[in-house]
Amino acid sequence: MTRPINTKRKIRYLLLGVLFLMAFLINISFGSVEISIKTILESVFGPTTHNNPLDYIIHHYRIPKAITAVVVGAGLSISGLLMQTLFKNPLAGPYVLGISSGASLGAALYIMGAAALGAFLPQWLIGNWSTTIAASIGSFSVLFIVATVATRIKNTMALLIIGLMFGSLSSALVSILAFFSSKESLQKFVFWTYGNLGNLSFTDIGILGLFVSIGSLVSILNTNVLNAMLLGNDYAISLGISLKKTSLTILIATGLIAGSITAFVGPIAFLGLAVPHICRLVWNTSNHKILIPTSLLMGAIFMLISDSIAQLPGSANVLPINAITALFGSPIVIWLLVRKKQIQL
Amino acid sequence: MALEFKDLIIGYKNSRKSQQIAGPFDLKIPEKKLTAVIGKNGAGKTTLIKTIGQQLKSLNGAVLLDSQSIEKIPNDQRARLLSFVFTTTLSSENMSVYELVALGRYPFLNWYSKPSKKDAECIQEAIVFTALEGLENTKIHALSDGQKQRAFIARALAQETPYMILDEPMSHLDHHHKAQLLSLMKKLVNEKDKTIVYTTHDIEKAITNADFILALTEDKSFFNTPDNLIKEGVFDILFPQEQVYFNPATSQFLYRDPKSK
Repeated sequence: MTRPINTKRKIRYLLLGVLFLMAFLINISFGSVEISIKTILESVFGPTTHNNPLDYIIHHYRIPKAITAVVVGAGLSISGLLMQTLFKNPLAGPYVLGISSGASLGAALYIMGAAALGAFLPQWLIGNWSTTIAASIGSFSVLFIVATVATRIKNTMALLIIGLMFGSLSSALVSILAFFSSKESLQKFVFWTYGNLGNLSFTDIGILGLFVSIGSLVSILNTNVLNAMLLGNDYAISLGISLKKTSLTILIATGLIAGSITAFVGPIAFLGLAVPHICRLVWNTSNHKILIPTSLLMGAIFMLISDSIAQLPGSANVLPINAITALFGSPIVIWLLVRKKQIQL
Repeated sequence: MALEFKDLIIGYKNSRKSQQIAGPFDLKIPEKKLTAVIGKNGAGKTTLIKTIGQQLKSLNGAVLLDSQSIEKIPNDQRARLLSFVFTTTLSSENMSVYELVALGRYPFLNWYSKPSKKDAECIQEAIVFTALEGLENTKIHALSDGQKQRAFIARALAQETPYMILDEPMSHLDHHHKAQLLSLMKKLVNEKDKTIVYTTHDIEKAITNADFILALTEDKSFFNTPDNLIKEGVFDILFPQEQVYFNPATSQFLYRDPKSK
């Protein structure tokens, strides 16, 4: 916060910016067909001659997927940061509120339950969007319940436990559903839980982007509040912060981000827990003025790289993105922790 | 401007029952003076502090600021009148001294405003006043207990409030740092016109240094200057007589030797 660090700060964002651009281009270039960076740049910035099949792949598959990765990575990281600060708990992530479990339950009810009810469902319900809608309904119902409970209890720790209980509750229901469902629908559900960045149209991305932007904007507007929250509740109140209003604001912001992301791409959990810690450790700070922008950027970069790895360059196979984020991220967090030997919020 | 307690009863309550800890208080905290709150563990010192700070609601009566109930004063306005030092640990000690002190300016910032020149001056002044120069970029977890306590006072100081309320600022400190902190609090009263209320277990230091003492016993409270409280014999009844007694000549508490009985 002191002045001399101004140039250091510029270098930090410049570095992150360059890294981001590189990760973005590499992400577009990797896939079942490898496309050279030169071709990508020509296709995007060059004269519009959309007859090349590569052009079609770039514009209709790779770019939407890369943008999705950016939105998802940035959104999950910021919501993880919000939850860790609100609950004063380094283990909190975007899904501690039971939002992803709610989404899973919604998706499970639709995917596995609909198979049983399939004959009675009207045609429009079985369209492209239905899993997304079912998952959204699930996550926002849980969010609504948690927010209602939050206005009644004072203790954030109790809220954390309530969120976890909702999580267990929905998981239990999902297990029961899975037990009774057919092999096909079970497989369909399991694939949904792997997460998938590649299924979004530009309209979907627009909706997802809108929710994530609103949530991120709310966080940015609350930078000072979040910093003051680090002092603990007693100090926060003494500084004139209304704990109820603040926790509700943060809950809703997180719910919008994590809920919409889960609905559109599935329960990708790990990133939101890890990226804020990576930022804290790398920049050795707890100041949200630094943590919010760096988490946004770092989350996007992280997701782009994870997705590039998941594409298994040169092969037609795609690994589940959910597994890759943890596979690639956990060692980084462990390494940083061992090196720095201490962790603080 | 005045901080008063009117028929104030403090304690804890939930939906089913309320537990009275201390009160009723009916007094006015003297302006620009150092007031110590004493009493044994559980007497209600911290409860009183948290009632003033609105972390707890009063069971009855009210804390008045400028003859207005503190519950009715808007949060942001209250934050410009009262600043606190609590005993709670921070959720994150990975902030620098400068960042901690800067958080004292929170009530003066809007959503994302950069600290103004005035903010920077206040922060710098608070750091200098509490002798923390050179430690601005040191993380809180790397400070000694004495430095940490001064950093929290600097944070409260940067809040620029006429009243400063400190909960056990001297616990964990050695004699040297206790003396340093007491002279810092006196300096704040004398040079910065602050009205300071602090809780303490060190009654002897409170007798020699505080202008007024609020003594909490199980069923009563006493408020006066230290000299008058000695005359009233308040310190004799503060602790169970068979274990601890007060020697008014030396203003000292002495332990009875169980063997001499």
